[in-house]
Amino acid sequence: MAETPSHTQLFRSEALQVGFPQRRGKAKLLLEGLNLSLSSGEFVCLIGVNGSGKTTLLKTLGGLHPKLSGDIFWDDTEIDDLSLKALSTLRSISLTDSYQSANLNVLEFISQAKWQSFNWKGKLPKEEQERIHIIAEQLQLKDLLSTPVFQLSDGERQRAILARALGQDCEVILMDEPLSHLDVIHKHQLMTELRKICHQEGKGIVISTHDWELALKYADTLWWITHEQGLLVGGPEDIMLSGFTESYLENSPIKLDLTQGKIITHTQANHSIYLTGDSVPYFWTQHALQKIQVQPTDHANATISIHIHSQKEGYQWEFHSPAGKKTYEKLSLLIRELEKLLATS
Amino acid sequence: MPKNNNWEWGACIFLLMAFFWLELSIGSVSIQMEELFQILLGNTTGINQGSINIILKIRLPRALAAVFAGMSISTAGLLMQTLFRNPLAGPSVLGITAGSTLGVSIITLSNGFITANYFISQFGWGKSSLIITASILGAMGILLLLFFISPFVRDNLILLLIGIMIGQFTIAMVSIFQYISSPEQIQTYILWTLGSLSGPSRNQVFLMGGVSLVFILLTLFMAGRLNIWHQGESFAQSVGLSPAQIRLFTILLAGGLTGTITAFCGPIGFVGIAVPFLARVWRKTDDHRQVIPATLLLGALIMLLCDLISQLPGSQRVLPLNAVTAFLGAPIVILLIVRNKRLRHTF
Repeated sequence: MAETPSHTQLFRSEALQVGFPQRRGKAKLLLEGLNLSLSSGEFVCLIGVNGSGKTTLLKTLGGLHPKLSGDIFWDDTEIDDLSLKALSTLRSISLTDSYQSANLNVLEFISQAKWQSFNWKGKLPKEEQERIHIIAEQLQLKDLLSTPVFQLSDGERQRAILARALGQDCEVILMDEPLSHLDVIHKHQLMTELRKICHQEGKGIVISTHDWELALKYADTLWWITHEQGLLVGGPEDIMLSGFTESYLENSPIKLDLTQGKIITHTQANHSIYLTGDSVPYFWTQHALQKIQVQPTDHANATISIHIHSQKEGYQWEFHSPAGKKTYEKLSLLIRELEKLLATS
Repeated sequence: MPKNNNWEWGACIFLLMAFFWLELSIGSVSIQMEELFQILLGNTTGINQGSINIILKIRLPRALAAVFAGMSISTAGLLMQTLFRNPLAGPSVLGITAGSTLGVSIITLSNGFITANYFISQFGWGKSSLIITASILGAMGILLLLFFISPFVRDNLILLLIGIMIGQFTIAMVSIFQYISSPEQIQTYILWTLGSLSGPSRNQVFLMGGVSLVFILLTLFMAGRLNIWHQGESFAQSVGLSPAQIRLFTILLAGGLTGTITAFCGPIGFVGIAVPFLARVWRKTDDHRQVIPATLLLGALIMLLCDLISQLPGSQRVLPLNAVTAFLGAPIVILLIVRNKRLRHTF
């Protein structure tokens, strides 16, 4: 498996227009002037709000949706000159609907990717079977091969769909929202897997996702669909450093903490209190305070103050207010009390 | 993947042969088992001509008609259920049956006997040939219509709706014909709609069987593609299969099968919906390499059984075929669907 990725170009688009053609009147244009390219060993995350055209772009690149204008070149052949069969050797594409029948076991499900190699008994040639078993092992599906797909958990099913995409044995893998319905652990697991496939096997992968933080963390390149600037292409870090998120998120309830790459909510601090303590309990106390619009300060002259004492058996919160001093063992109790106090004052 | 339960297939084939045998031996005239053997082997010396005629001209065509009709209608139903991924789809959803019905109603209802007399005098055609021709023309008309419409339809559900609408439209025309016809004419028509396996003559059965076998072979050839289609439209496109092509081929095959059988035996409905269900329940998979053969086998088996029952062994009366199939089949299908949770994941 240890091939050296050679970074050859897998596909590129020139002045591509994406949208829906309409018989009468104007076509519905979603994206225009796209000059995109994908190299081997490149992991791309496509982000954009709902309805921005992520799925349509993926379908257009994969030949499942007609482009409005422009060119898409796969191996220097224009996509319109490629048959669906020829495309099936160049790219695999998994959309969110591409999972209908579940009354097959996982092995049968993955094997469908190579249906053209089936013999009349429905068996794959030996080398294909071995390849599928290697993929199943790689994605921890080995023990599930005889399980019906409908019995899989969401995480396992997403891995099975990825396995089927890999089973098609193409250089390019396009996936629409593979992370949806996954819990946070499985999301990270899948992203790690995708990145590994890109970098170890030299495949080019494009996935669409709503999860920016994960996209920032794992992608080599972001394709970010924006209202103002169209499709923004670049390394995640370069895009962050360009300060683009500031204007992009101007009217939204969230912002991106550029020092940490995390999404944070705008906190309107209505009150400030004096807070002291060790870094870990300090962070989580601040975390809880922000939910009730309280901003901790370093100024000792605030009327309310909290001091955190770290002890062997846990933490203690010493709470000073005009009403007097109280000690709490649980942060949640303190916050409830504080909220009551602030509401009356 | 093939499962190791060949005995189930064996048992089904044995049952099929047993029913076929019963179909040949049961009737108002009792024929000895030895005689039956001799006649089937072509060894007719010393057997009275009446028995030979009964077996070769009446019972054998009827039994064969049951086998072909059962296989074809069930396969057509399976194709439609897979195409639309809808358990309610059956051979009649595309309006093919309605097309046949329209053709037949034109002949039998609208001054049918004048045209019939004309044809008989001009070409020497009998009434049954006329009905068959009308039915084939009607079915082909609708099939051609669908053939030209389907490339423009991108959505399955819309195609399904179009099929149903064509059906309704045709039925409405039939109602008008019925309304203006005389009771005698209506009776001929009604008898046709009840479905019958004894309609086609020996040569007609061979014709019907030959044509439907071609369609069945083509369907078996499509099993792999149907599996891919069943995984979802975008997956089919991902692995290089054109949805438009699949749609067109499936419609042509299902239409051809339905049209052929309907022409000779009248509209036979229920098994087309029920048998694919049973086949999926039996094989516990959506792999068409297994489901299609299972459908063929169960279709033939159930049609033979229903025909046996419709003849009410021991009495002189015969029940209409369509009544028997639904009367017996509906409760069984309901029972199986309720008990089988797995089926829910198929569609």
